[in-house]
Amino acid sequence: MSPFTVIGESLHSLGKNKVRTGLSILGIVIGIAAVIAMVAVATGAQRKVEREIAAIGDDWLTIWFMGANRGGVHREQATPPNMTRDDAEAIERECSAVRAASPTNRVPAQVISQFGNYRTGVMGVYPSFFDIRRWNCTVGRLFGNDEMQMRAKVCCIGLSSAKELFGAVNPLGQELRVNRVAFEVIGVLESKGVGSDGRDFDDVILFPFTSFQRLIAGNEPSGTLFAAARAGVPLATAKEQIRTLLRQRHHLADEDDDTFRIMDRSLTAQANAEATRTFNLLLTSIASISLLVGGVGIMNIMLVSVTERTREIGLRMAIGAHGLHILAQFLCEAVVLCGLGGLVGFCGGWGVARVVSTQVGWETEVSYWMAGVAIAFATAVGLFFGFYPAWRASRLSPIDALRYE
Amino acid sequence: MDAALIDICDACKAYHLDEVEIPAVRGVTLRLPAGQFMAITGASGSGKSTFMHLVGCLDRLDAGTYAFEGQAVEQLSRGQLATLRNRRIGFVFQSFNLLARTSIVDNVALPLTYQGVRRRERHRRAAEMIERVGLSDRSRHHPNQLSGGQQQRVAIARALVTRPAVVLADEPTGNLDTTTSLEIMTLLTTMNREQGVSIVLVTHEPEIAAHAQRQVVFRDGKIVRDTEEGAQARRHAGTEGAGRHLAVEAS
Repeated sequence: MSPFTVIGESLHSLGKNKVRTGLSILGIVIGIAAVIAMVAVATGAQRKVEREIAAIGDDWLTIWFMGANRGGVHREQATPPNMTRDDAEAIERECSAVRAASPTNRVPAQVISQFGNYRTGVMGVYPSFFDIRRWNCTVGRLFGNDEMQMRAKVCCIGLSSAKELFGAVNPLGQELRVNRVAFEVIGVLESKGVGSDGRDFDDVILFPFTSFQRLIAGNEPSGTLFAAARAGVPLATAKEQIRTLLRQRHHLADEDDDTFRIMDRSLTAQANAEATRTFNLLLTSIASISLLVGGVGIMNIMLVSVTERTREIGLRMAIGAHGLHILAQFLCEAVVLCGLGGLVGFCGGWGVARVVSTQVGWETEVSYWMAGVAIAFATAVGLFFGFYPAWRASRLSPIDALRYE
Repeated sequence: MDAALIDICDACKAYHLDEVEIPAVRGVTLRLPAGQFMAITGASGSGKSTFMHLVGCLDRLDAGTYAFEGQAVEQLSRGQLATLRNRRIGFVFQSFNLLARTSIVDNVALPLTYQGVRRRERHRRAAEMIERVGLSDRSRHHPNQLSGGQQQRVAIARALVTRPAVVLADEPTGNLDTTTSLEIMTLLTTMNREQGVSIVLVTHEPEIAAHAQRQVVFRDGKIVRDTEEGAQARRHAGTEGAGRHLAVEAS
């Protein structure tokens, strides 16, 4: 008997009772739909986290300076005005694991333009900051070392800030004022979106560090610097090198606590990603249970079908069907049933995912390979749960089956 | 050795109901030459149906021997028995046993699917057989659209489509009226004559059995009358004599 004949017979036999066929695959349909919808939601969430990590990068550190402590006792110390700047340069020069380092300073300020004004945090940075944070311009250009040297009155502006200050007007070449000093907008930064903590990465205005210190911060010492690790170097190595260097530069004795804290921003994102993964796994597992229930449903209906068709089995055996033929026939029916359920379930899951993304607003993603996986998985469920009924059918004695009432 | 199609010797078969053994066939010896039309009659419970199942290789003997075309049936596996039934034996049942919601041509072609015959060839041979039973105009219909007699003709076509050596018909007219029964018997007789297929017919109606060349009557699991009993006995005596002769020679 060719496989096509077997499949043909199965389809024919399932087609004889369409309502029952439809009802019996319902469990599988719901199971597969639930799994597909969950995976779609999970993949969407995963993508969001991944995009966030990609946006903020995962190879950079923030170094904060605090007062000196020894054994928990705070010792007030004057911070030299150029400390972070000198430290940053030293780090970039001496730490082999560091690609770039930049001092930063951030102060709150009222920013005014011809079209609007609002209060936000403004930042002074080295041009290397753009490299560290992988920040590019969508329009215009970034400021470079020349502008740093000349203390040029220029700035680069994030998308959200641009909207606040200039509305629909192209901000490029426009002026904005901070502390009554006018700066020219020379670049609009690409969007980094909103972080999982709700912070808007695009609410940012960046000035050359030198100009910023003199004209905005009033030489207020900066307390933070950013450093990025070289490609392929573990962040922990960079962290350790920076720590050793800074302790040396700040003349800390062995018993002194660090006067600074090195923060690994990506750790937060990674923890976030991990939490998302766990949550997704949980959701998908629960959905899989419904698939299992669907499989048991298939087994049940196949057992009923075998009992109901005992005479047919007897007849087939009488006219020459081997046990293997009967096994193949019923197994094939279960598999076709489940495969069909998988297909319909995939479409259903895809529909649910669409509804979730349009109505609830969650990001979802359904890949086409998932259709293949869904059908393959449903087929496997069919094989597994269909085997026992099919095996039972194939073991019937022809005479008992024929006489079955 | 003459080629008997079926050679059953001292066949016994019992059923077990709640540990009570109920003997159904108790030492039946029967030879069926190829091409013979034989009827088995007897009251219900006489063991004729059970004997029929044994002949049809649907069930195994408890004791005795069974040779089909010279082959010892007891030695065949389940699968080999299925193949034997498929290729050499055709079945006609009282309740037709056609597949519902399946076209006549597919019903008739069913035994051929288990031989691995290709679809086109299956349908060609099935159509040929359906024509011989006179239902060509109904081959696309389903069994429930046919009368009882027509359904039984479909079943006969299905039994004959594989060109078997023997057709076993278990009460083929049991569900049919007299006129239709006559039609069916005529058809079976024609097939026996034209195709040379042996037929073993089980019935409890003497007038149906009268269509056959040979009548065998069962009672309490034994043959009590055989219209060819004399011939059988003579043949048996002959073989036994030969056996004894050989035994003497050997000693």
